[in-house]
Amino acid sequence: MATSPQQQLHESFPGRAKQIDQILGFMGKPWAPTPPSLLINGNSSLGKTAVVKATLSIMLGGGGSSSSNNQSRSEQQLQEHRRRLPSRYAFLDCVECHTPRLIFEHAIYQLRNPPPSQEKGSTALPLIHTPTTGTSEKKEAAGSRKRKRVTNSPLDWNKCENVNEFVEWCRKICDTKDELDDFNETCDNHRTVHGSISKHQNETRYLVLDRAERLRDTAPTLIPVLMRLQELTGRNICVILITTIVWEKFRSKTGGYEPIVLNFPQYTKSETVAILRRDLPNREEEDLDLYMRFVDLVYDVFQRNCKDLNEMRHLVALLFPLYIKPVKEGKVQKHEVLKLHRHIQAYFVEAMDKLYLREISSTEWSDRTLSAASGSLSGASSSTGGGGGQVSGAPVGDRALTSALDVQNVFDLPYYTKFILIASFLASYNPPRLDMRYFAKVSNAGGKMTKRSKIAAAKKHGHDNMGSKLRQQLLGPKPFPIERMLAIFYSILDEEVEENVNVHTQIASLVSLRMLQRVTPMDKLDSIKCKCNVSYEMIKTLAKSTRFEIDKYLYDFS
Amino acid sequence: MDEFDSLTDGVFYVPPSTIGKTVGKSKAKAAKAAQWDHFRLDGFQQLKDVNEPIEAMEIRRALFNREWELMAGRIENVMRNMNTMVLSAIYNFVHNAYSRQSNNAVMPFLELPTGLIFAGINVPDHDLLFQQIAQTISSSTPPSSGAMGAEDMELDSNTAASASSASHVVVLQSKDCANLKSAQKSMIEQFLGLGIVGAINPLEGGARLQNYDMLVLERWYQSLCESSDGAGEERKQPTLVIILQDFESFDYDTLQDFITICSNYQDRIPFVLLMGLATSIDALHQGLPKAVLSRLQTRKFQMQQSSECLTAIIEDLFIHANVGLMVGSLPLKQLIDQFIHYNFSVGGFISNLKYIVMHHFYANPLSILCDRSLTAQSKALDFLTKGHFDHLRMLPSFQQYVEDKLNGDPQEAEMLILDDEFLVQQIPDMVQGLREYHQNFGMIFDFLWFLQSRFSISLLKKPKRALYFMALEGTLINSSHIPFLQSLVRKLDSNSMMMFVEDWLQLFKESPRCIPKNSTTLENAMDGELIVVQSIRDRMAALLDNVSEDSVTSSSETEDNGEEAEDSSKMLSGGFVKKRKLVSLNVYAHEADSRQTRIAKKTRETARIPKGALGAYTLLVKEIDETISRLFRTYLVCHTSVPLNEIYYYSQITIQQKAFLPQPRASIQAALGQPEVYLNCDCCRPPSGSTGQSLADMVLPTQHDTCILYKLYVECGRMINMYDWFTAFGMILERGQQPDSVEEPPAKKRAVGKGGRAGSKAKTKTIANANKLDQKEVQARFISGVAELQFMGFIKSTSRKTDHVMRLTWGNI
Repeated sequence: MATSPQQQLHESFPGRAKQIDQILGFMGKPWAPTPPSLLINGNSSLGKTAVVKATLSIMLGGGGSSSSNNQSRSEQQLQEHRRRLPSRYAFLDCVECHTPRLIFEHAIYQLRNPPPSQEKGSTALPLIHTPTTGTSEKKEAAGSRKRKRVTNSPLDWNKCENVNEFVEWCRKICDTKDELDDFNETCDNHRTVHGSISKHQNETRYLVLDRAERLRDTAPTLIPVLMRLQELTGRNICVILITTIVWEKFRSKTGGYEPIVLNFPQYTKSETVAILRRDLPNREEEDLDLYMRFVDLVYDVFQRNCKDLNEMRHLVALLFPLYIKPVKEGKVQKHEVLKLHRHIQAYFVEAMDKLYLREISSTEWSDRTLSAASGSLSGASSSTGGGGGQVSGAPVGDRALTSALDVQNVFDLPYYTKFILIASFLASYNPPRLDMRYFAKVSNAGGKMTKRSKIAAAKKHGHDNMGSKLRQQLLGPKPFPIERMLAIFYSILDEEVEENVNVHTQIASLVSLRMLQRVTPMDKLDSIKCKCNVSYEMIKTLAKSTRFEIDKYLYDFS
Repeated sequence: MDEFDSLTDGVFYVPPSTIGKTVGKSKAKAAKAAQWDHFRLDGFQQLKDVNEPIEAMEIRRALFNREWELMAGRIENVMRNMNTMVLSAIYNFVHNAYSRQSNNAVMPFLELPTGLIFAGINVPDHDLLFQQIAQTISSSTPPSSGAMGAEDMELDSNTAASASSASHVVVLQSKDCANLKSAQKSMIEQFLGLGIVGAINPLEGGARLQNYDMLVLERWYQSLCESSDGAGEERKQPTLVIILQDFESFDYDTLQDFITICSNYQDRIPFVLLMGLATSIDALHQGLPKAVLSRLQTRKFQMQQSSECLTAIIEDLFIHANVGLMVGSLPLKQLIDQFIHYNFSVGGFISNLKYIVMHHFYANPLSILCDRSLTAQSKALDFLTKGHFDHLRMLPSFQQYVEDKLNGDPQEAEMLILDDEFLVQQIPDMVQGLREYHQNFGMIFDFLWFLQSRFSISLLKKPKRALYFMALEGTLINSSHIPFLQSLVRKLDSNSMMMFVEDWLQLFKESPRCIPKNSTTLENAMDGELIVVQSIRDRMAALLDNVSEDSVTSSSETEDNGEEAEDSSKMLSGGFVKKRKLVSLNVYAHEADSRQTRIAKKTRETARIPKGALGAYTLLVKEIDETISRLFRTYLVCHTSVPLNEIYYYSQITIQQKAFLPQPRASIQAALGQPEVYLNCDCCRPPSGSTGQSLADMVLPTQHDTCILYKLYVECGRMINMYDWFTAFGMILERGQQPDSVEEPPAKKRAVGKGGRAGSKAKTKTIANANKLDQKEVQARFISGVAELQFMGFIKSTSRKTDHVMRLTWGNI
């Protein structure tokens, strides 16, 4: 029954055995010297963060393996120590630590305080998974990084503003001997395996920087320093960068140290399925076969569009209840694969459309599919659910409200604002030289181009019907001066409108709603230029609602 | 005037001081006292044209305060009621956001509960709304709403159990969140500033944490939980709610990071996000990348459309009002137009309305009568002066009233005009009549609405707002809308007709106007109408009863005229009986048991209407039709026909336009182009010889320098040569020096018209003349004028061409 930490890790991360072994190999014994820096890269949701975190916490953080009972006494003692003593690693998220100072201070704080305890986390929140890059499994997640409470923290926050101080702090931290180091030494003495060199060295400290690509923006000068941190401090300290991009993008001009690059490859199908298998809601043990079949199916259907494991898990979690519903209702037998398949097909299409793009969120999806599709079942389920079953649902009226909202995604604008938006669309996509022809009120042709003259105009300007030259429609909106837009606005309005302050406030509010985009800087007050930032479809609906024939006024547009 | 000698302030506020009270006192002291008075009285002044006593002014002030409080209270009420449903939904969402998670454990990873609040496009209005939301969430009880279903109640009991855990709310606005640091800082500061008992502020304890570090919040939150742990173990952890008020205005990069951080900390701090979206969900999808979106667990909440709010406010304030001041058709049109055409702003509507109320009570001396509870004993009547009476007699509606009297009772008409005492006695009656009118109007308007909503013909449906507006204009009665509805009524078959009459009766009975039934003193018109409707209903019921009775007998005994009414028998199908059951239940409750048996019998029979009954029925339908028509004609008449309506109906429009539809550019152009309008000086009168020319086109040397420059400017092209401009300017000034300037202008005008490119001979000549005028002075004046034009945004300097400036405005508005 005894499982070594290594086996334990292998079990919790299917398909990552090689990488775990590599990391463990680099780490070696707790006090062994390590490479100065390690770069772990790979696409998102390949378990980079989770693997590193689990490895460190099991090996160094006193986490995990307390379950195996026939550990040696000294091992247990060691674990006990680890839980109390300052942590050997600091885990930082570069999004959260967005200034160098935050990185330094958080790192120092974590290295000077005991690792996050596990017991406290269990009561606080039910079953939390680290959402960052989520292959973290439940056990690991239950031990969330809940830190020691403030009142218990022995050491307080330390100020650290620049790299020099940080290096100094690193030295100090590495030099502080504690019981654990003593313990190690005595262990060594017991074993008498190692030479005398390692005896006097303290344990390796690890500095992990998750989402390290952000460092390039927030602290570009810090990267070379971190690469050489071991050299600068002269202590046993290892920097691990976790990122989704390759090292080449980090390299600065002056050649710094190259880290050891460790790549996490894409999961294969069997690995993916193995991971998804762990997600089976544990209440239906007997459904494992069914579930695995379903997972296979989902993988085959979505694999081409979606490589992201988390998305896959998301889809499986939301679609599986639908898949087994006919079985539960007794309409279909478990082995009738084809029927089940046909049943779920429609949902697949919708999921691909809406769920994957997060047009509707997971709760809305589950609310809607379960309530709408079940019909007869809903009464039963709500009655069995009692108080708990309906917690997710808002009142009925609200549900009706949201579904109505799904249908009507277009929102209303004030009447003249609609015309302002239409006018700016015209100004953005029509060439200014044709304004006279389209909008002049006293034009002989009634202001409208016939199709023939349109073609003629197009030919004249060097492109034919096939659009050999790029049309504005394909080039995107062009900036226009506000005065021109206003002129068009007054021209396309049927009634006579006096210019007043409201028109200008509406332009400003359209800018703030990001429907117009101001091209000139904010401090430039005269000759403002804008771009129209809405789609043709939306303009079309707007024009329809105001009974304005937009197509008559658009040049070379389809 | 030292106090106005400031370099930094551009505008000074000088409150008007009441003149004429300075008798016997030193001027400064009196002015001070007057100023103090001014603030104490909210700026109310005695109106001079009627020689108003100070008490009357006090009454106006009191009335104004009362009226506006009433209106504001009602508006707030309406707004709250409109959104109760959504507010309680949001409340439940926030409070169950984390308890839900345990039931729904299938999700592979934790998603951040996010409410998307679609609040309409008028962003300035949102302040109030989000304050309401924040209040609702942070209170420990869900908002009460009348329309809560059973399920809702169940939910309530659910939340009540866990209500001890309050949520803490902060509102983040984009202006505080220019970058990530300031966003975090703002959030943390707001949370720490909430002043919750038991929470420790980690920033104060000597720790040198930075104020945008999430650890600060984490520690604060832990201390919060610890302090609440002591109170009760089963307490749920408080949730922290972050409201992002104006999603569209946020910097999206900042927002991405912010959300990422929040969701990283979600395992330690239960966050709930609420985002206010002004446009559509597309904004969310455009603004946030997939990685961030996938961390959100969104739920949408649609707030009430602001146009709905407007209609509700108008209905509550004006149609069913018992407030004093009403808004006439023109101002209302302007109010609504501004709303629909420009901004959808309920806030704007309210401030506009307040302005109307203020103007009415501040400036109209007769507004002391604008009091619904005005009786013969009211004090206001004692303070009426001669001026007031004159004003009253000048009211068009009063004149109309007197003229009508003239035919019936000439003596009374004479007394109304000549005898002040008599007039005073009449006023309360007139006001009472107006009140009557208004209440009747409200009720019949309801009836109209009821009529319209009864028929599901969407094509001809008009919103309440539009109907009311038509009524105000006085076009409603004669519009085609009412006859159309009547024709629909006529076409009803007898079952539906019976139902219709029953509902109609119900409507009248329920309306507050018909409550004082027993009191004979408070007899009002509506009671009479009620009786009319009641009698129609009774007769109808009796008729239809007879019909079915007859048909029972006829079918069983085969009596007379059984077969003759086949065509009408179609009208009375089996459905009738069923519906009658419902009807009889509430009206004829005491008879119900005896009737039921008869109905049961009837169901087996075929109902037929005998010939005599058919005729009676037709007559009855005709009567119904006439009654409806009469109701509308009597009670929906335009308010302008009621005497003294001007006191209650505000009907001016210009002052509104000036205040709420300003046209800055037009007024600047007018000021520059026609300065005589503003300056009102004699020197700028048009010369006698130039009648053909309009004054606006002429450049007179007596005008202000900037005006002269502006007029020259109007004639220039895109680029303006400074030297030409200067020369032309000099020429015009110089013309003013010459005594015979009256003759000159036409010729000079032409020279100027050619943009200073007149012949070189003319130029040299003018320069030579200008020398007399002191070249330096001309130049200084020119420069200062040009600087002013630049300041106003007419020109700007350009580097594209030397010695030129760019013209920025085109067209004359």
